[in-house]
Amino acid sequence: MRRQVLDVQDIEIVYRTRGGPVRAVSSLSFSVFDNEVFGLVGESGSGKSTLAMAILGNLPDTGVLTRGRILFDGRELGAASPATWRAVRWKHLAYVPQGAMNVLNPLRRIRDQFDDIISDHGVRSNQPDWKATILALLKAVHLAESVLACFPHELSGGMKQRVCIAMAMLLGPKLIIADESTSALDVISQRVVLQTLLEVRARLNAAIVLIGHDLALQAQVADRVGIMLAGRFVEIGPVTRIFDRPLHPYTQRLIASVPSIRHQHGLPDVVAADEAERKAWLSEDARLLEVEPGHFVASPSVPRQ
Amino acid sequence: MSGMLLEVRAAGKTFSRHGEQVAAVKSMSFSLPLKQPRLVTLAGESGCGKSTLAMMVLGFLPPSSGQILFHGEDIYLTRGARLRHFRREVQAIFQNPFEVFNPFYRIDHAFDLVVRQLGLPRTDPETSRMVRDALSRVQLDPDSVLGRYPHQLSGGQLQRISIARVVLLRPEILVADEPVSMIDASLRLVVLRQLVDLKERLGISILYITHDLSTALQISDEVFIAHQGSIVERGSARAVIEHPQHEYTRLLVASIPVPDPRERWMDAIGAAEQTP
Amino acid sequence: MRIRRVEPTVVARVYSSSAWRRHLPLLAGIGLIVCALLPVLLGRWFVTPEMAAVFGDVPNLPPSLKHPLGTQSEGRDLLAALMLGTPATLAIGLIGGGVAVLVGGTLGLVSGYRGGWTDTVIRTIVDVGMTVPPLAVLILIAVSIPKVSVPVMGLIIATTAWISVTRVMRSQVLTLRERLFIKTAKLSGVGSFGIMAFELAPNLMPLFAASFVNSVTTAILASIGLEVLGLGPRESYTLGNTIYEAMYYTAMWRDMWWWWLPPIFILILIFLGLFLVSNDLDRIANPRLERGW
Repeated sequence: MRRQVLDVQDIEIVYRTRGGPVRAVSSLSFSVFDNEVFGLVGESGSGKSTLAMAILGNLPDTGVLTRGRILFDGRELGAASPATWRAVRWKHLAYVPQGAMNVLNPLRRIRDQFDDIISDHGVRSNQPDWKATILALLKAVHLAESVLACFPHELSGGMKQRVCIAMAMLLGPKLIIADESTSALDVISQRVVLQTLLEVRARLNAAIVLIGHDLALQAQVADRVGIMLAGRFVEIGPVTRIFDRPLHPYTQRLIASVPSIRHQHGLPDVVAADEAERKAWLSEDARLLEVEPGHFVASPSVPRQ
Repeated sequence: MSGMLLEVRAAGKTFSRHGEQVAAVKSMSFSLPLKQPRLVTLAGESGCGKSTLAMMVLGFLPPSSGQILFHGEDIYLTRGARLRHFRREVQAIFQNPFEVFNPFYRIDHAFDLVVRQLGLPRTDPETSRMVRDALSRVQLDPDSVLGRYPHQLSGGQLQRISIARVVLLRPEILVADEPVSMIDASLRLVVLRQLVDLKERLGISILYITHDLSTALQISDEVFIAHQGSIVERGSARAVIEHPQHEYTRLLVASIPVPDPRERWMDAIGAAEQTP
Repeated sequence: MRIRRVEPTVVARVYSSSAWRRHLPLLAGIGLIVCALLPVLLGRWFVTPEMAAVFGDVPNLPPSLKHPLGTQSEGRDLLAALMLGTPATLAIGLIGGGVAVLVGGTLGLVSGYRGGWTDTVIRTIVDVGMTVPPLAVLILIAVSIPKVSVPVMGLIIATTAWISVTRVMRSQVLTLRERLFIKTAKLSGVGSFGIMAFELAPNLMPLFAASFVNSVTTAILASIGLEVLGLGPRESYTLGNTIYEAMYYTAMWRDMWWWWLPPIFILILIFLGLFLVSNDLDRIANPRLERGW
């Protein structure tokens, strides 16, 4: 029985808006096991970023977790106090965002920012072991030591992302949430950054939740994939099953729409879903059923075997 | 000499940024033939100059060197009726569908402008039928779209409205600058198919600009790979992707994720230590 | 993405804003201006306009039932004077502010969109103009015009008030000019005039409105400045003229508070009101200032 590092149980997240309360995430459950890469795929408006923020305890003031529990390493996090969050965040639960500007202070040198993280978490930063750790991390993300003396604007986009990864790894977290962390990068930097992420993850035995909209990327990197639509999961399963035999119609459409450089020339014949179909997918009583071990699909759209 | 529909002849564009001269486009040359609608792709990463070239071809940015020729005439030297003709025959679809329509007006306004450009009588029921047909053709319901404001519609809908606009105008050339990169994955195929439709059924030549070589493979007749302001490789999509000659192209092709979990990136590429 | 409303307990914790609350400054501002207009609205119950003329009644009378605000040294009833003066001052503000915004807005639009020589010329005039103290220019103009009426006063003030409007409009046009919907309009064959008038101008309306209110405030202030120097429309009643007369007849040292205090109080109400309105309009014009929901 694999250990669960993250367990999300039937949560619901509501936003207050000018037009009234809006549900961004509803009846959502999933788990992330130790040492795995869980790919979270969803289009815009699917609620994936809201989910990420909730797990990190970073929902904006207008967002409220109205139901369910979020358990990290067995510890209840969903409604925890800010102090609990601070103890957990970064040390055990780290975050690599889409834009490095969300993490890196443009006015401080990189080495000072590493120091900030260390001292923020109650450790003295001039101990020699930390210096060695930081250097080892930089080597792991394939950056030279000279990066430490730089300001963020002196580095390229890919390099900044790798600095963010190094910072996320610094305190040895068990779970890293990477939210579209390569979307702003060009394809070449993207591959380097992702491979780096995987390498470093392997050293630390950490789990990663990789959030993105690019299914091809997930195919290259994820162990398990969850497809989100309108605030809930429609399918979760091992990456090979999702690509070989997607069961939910939405997943099937997504997989069929992904272009591949291995395919023949020409556009595949995929018809856009009409309104009635989409409504059926969003129906309230759809629940995730385990169709085969580890492979969950939202019914009632599961085909009768 | 110019039996060409569009000829980009050694076009270059230099900007001065903070006192320095930065060449966004160094010297690009390619052409689109007459009477033979083609879909050519200009592919490259951000900063390679492809969007700058798009603006130059559309007549919005005069080149610092070289020429853009439409039916043999330099577009930046045309005036009057010839210029109006150019403006009708070369149209564009842009990356961000939310920015393309004037937020102050409903969608009708965009079509009113087109109708006026085509010289069609505004109040004629035939005109209105043409507009509605164009919208139906891109699988949109005219009644639920024409009366709405841009902010009330989704990116996919807005992009298809842009295509409907092109259907109505029937230009000779369409410049499509990253038309699907801001649209959800499930809708991309629909939009791409409509683009291909424009070429096959309406005979419009398309200059497709993208950073995604996979979509280029799906729809292009010819591909040009752009890198740091120059075209480094050109050929059929299949040839460029399966047998890349230039080093940059090889790197690019190797970095594209293949959506097959059984074919994973096995070795790290170019991840050697980097100094700023 | 709306699904459906949740249980009442959650709704109770959820704050739903209402339009009234969000635009409280606007409503408060309008309220203040209405208060400032009270002499106009209610004055007819007490006095008639003729009583504002010289020797309308006995001079220097303190407030009484017959003259709720008393009379001043020329025998003018003060409530009547305010009843006529408040609208006059507001009219000067509207004319001056309105012309300034029309002229400045158009110049800013053309200058920002066309660029080139047009822009250089207009920009230079504006940059130089901003360094010249407007009151000095206004005084020069005012003394050279023999007969100043309320509309003429408005126009005089507009001659310097348009300058800052041009600047603000121009910057906004510079950002709007590069937007894709303008490029699309060009691709649709719309000419320069069409783009400026029909594509750009409508999107400038919030800024236009905010600038208008600011200009009205500036115009009223400038007019008061001229009037207390005696350069106002002497034939008409304005608030500034009343204050000028109060100074001329040294009302302050004679303890005639009913003379100089009411017009000043009304001016304060007007300025506060305009300030609140302009703040709110600024907020609408610049969506980033609004608290995000």
